[in-house]
Amino acid sequence: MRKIIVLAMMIISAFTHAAGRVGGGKLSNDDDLYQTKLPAAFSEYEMFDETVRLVGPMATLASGVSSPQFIEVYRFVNESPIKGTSRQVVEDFYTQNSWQKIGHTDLCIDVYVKKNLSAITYVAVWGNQAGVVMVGQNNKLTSLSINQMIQNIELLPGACSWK
Amino acid sequence: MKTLLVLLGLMMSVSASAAPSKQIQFKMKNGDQSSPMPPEQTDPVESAKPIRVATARYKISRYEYAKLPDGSYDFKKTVLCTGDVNINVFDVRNNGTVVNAPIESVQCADTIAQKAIWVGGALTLTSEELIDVKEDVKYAFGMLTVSVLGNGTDPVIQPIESMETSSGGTKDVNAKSFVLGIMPARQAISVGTVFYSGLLDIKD
Repeated sequence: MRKIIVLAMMIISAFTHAAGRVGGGKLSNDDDLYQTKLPAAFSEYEMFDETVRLVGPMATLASGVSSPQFIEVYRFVNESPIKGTSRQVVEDFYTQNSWQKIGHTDLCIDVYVKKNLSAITYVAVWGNQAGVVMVGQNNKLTSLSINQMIQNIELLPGACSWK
Repeated sequence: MKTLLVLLGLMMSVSASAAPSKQIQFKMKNGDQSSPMPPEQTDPVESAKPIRVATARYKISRYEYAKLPDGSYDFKKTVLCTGDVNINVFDVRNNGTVVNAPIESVQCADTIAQKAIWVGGALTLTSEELIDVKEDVKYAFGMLTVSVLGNGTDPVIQPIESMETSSGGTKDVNAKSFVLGIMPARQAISVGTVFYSGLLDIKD
């Protein structure tokens, strides 16, 4: 009986390494131990192996082409170009690559933002490869929505893992 | 014990179901009386006869949501093809019905993805939306569908999704172009999201 329970836990765990889960108006992740509210304009979603795609209303890209607005959510551990684990290493990398550091009410969370003509990328980190990357088109609604999701991040117990 | 095994089986079958978990439907602004169908399934209304044929110029581009070395993202745009396609022009003032009028299809090879982008479908003509138009005959703006094919000969491997016209709708009769876009399921060959956009300019 115990073996079956362990097997069940392993199977459950195998399917929860995705970028997150959506439910109850929230996005959460059991590996990075956080949750945040979904923005009202992005109520549709698609789940993929490594990303959660939130889909919003149509918008026009900088190039003049129209597409649905979307926010893609990735795990920091899968997207980060750095493997350093110290808070200073992370900060040095992003600030030296022209990312802007912004504040968060949870002092454990460091947030970095980078924009270009077409896209905006937010990185929120709270420890040893723990964090989230959110990216979308660089327009007002998407930017505001990503910023709200980042600012609404609540860490679950044990999430803050800076060394 | 048996219950646990059944539960386990159920969980596995749910988890194994194919992503995406939720089908996205992009709805037409007006006059959308039914879900858009793949072009080969359209059912033109026999009573609606085109009064003439106009030429439209299309341009299909691939947008790739690319990851940059510093961890940020950008869109990469690649124009895949341009060309002309015939488009039927209808007088749709007589009644309020919606007409699905098939137009020509075009194929557009995406060599990077080794896939073909197939563009075709139906213009949805909505006379209700043209009621304010003074001229006798106007083009109705509608929707096109785009699908991603295997290698140009294989059956469709990606479901066709619908898209919304974006350049002002039918009341803006001076806007002779509209943009179509599709965001298919994430492509394995891509770093990020790939979607295809097209522009159809009615040359009149």
